[in-house]
Amino acid sequence: MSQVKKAIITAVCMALCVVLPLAFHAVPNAGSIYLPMHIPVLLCGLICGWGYGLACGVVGPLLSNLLTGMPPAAVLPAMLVELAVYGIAAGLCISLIRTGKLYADLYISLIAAMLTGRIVAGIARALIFAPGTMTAAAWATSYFVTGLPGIIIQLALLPSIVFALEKARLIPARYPGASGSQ
Amino acid sequence: MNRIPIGVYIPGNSILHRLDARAKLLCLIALTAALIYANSLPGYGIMAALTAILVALSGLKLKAACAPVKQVLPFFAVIFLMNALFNDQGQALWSWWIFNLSPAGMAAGAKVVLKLILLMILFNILMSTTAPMKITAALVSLLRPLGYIRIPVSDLALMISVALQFIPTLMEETEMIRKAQTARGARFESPRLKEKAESIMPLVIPIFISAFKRADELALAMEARGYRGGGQQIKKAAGPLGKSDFAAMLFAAAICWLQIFAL
Amino acid sequence: MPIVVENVSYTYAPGTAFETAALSGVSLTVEDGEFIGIMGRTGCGKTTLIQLIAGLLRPSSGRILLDGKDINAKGYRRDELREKVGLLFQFPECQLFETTVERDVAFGLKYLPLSAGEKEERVRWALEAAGFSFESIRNQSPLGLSGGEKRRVAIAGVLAAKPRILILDEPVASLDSVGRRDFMKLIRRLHRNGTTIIMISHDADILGEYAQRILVLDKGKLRLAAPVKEIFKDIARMEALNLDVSRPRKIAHMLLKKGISFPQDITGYGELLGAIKKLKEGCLIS
Repeated sequence: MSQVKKAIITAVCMALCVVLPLAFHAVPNAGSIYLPMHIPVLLCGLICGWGYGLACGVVGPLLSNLLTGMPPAAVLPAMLVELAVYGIAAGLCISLIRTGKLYADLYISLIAAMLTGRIVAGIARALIFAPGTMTAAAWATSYFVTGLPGIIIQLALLPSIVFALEKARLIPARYPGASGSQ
Repeated sequence: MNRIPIGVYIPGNSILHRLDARAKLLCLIALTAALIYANSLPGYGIMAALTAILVALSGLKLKAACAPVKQVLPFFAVIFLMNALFNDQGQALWSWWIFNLSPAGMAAGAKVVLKLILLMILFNILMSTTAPMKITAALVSLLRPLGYIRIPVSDLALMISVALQFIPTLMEETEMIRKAQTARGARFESPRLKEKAESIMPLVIPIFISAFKRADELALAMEARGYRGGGQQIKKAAGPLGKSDFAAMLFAAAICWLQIFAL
Repeated sequence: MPIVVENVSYTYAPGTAFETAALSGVSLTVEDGEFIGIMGRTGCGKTTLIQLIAGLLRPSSGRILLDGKDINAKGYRRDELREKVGLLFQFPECQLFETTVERDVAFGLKYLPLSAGEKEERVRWALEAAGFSFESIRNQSPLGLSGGEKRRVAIAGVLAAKPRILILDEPVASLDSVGRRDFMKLIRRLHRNGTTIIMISHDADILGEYAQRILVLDKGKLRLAAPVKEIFKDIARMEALNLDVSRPRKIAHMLLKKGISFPQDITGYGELLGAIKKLKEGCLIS
């Protein structure tokens, strides 16, 4: 993919970081569970690479906060760190992992990205943003338990989105000639 | 989701609206530093008074200026309590198990909360008086030196302005998709989790397809016009800084110096 | 009386700086089995009107009745509405999302009380009505199809629920003439089988050919509601509203201006050809 295309895709993902949370808030209670802003960032990292994923992870939540007030400024710094790491990790993993199967690559990269993202963000929170107020127990609870439905949904959604985009020939197929493509 | 609550920017013509975005950004940074270093009663007094003056100058109604603060009051309450109850310095007013309520702790808590509140209000003032595109342009301009260590500032600027332009389009598109799928029977508002979950794919996949299609078309159009990405300069739209801009920055710098060295 | 729109108004974003009155005081009735065309300039409120009828928007004032029941009343079952009314949006191919065509078309049947076998039958019927061979299309990915095929799959998706009332928003815009012809053949078939058709279109030719009644909207108000012959008769009135009449009508008008006795109540090509034949045979009564 050309640099221009990657840049524009990243721009679109940044825009989606603003639009998706609003769309999900039309579905009552969906916003906090489904963590909609994570989806475009992870997608950007997976499709365009770690640099663009990083850009999306930083600019997306900033834009969203600027324009719609979501996420609230108190949560913003931690979210920035988390999403930045998501973007980087997703991009790195997908370029390193080649199992021959699209879905396997995606699942592994996503899980790795989400784990790394949450660990790093948790550390950042503990050290920088709210020193002393985060205990290991609180961190574990907030991230894994309440975030679990979100993690599962993202694991279900993202591969389907990538698959759909490949079918629609909007992104190059990762394994051309694989079952049913083109 | 009928109308977009497009951000906190409220068009107006106050003194603050008319200042250059770059000056405002730099002032904000200086005032933030001042706030961080504020450490005495007169120091806090000055910052609070200054904030109040800025609110008045911006033409913002007090309620609007403090709105983001209201959102996070519970968070502030927690911070206050954590400081008040766990501070080990000084005598305790009341002690039980691991909790120590002390005046020193309460003072510390109050200081932190006050700083955070003032900071939020200052940020809010900036965003209410400056259009998002101007903020972007200002950031790009200020970060331009970063280009020397190979961070693609103008590429970023392009991405951000494209993103900003896509947002209204994508919102309308999303609304249309939501309506179309509802007409087909999708149950977005059902209380049943299963039905809610089943309505996510029909919403999300078409949104992404449509968004990427537009990205495709735009990228094609840009490449056809010779855009290659990387290293292309965006023309500076903003003019030179004016007298009031320099005055504002000088003032902010003075306050900052005061707080760090004199108070 | 299947659909009654009673003095309905709709305002976008009331109370904000963006407040716009999209519809004001619109009242109309659509009988069972009618073929209604809706015409009007961009921004006149056509899309708002059909979205209100389909229950996607709530009127700011006024009522919408389906079979005598207010669709926005408390306790009205929305499912009932979805079963009876189908709405095909403009560029319906945007709503495709599933992994196979069969699954996408079946999406509209998800919450209907039908058995799996019945659902498959409906999907088969809908895809074949849209011109596909069921077995060859059913397992293909809808997103990888050509533009025209995607549109037909989307149409099948709306048809599968066998709505009694089918609302279409500019369904043939951007289709080539073959596509248009095939699509209208399908719609005519559905109409003959009893489906009520409400169609928004800029294409006066199509409406002149197929519609029975035309509703003309202008700036949120219902200006005209009459049989198509009556609407197209007064060309000047339509032009004042910036709307076209069908070409057969224009040809009839032109012939009259040239001094030829020609019937002026023609709206479709069939009638036009018939009248020209009669003229040729020299037995035309004007």
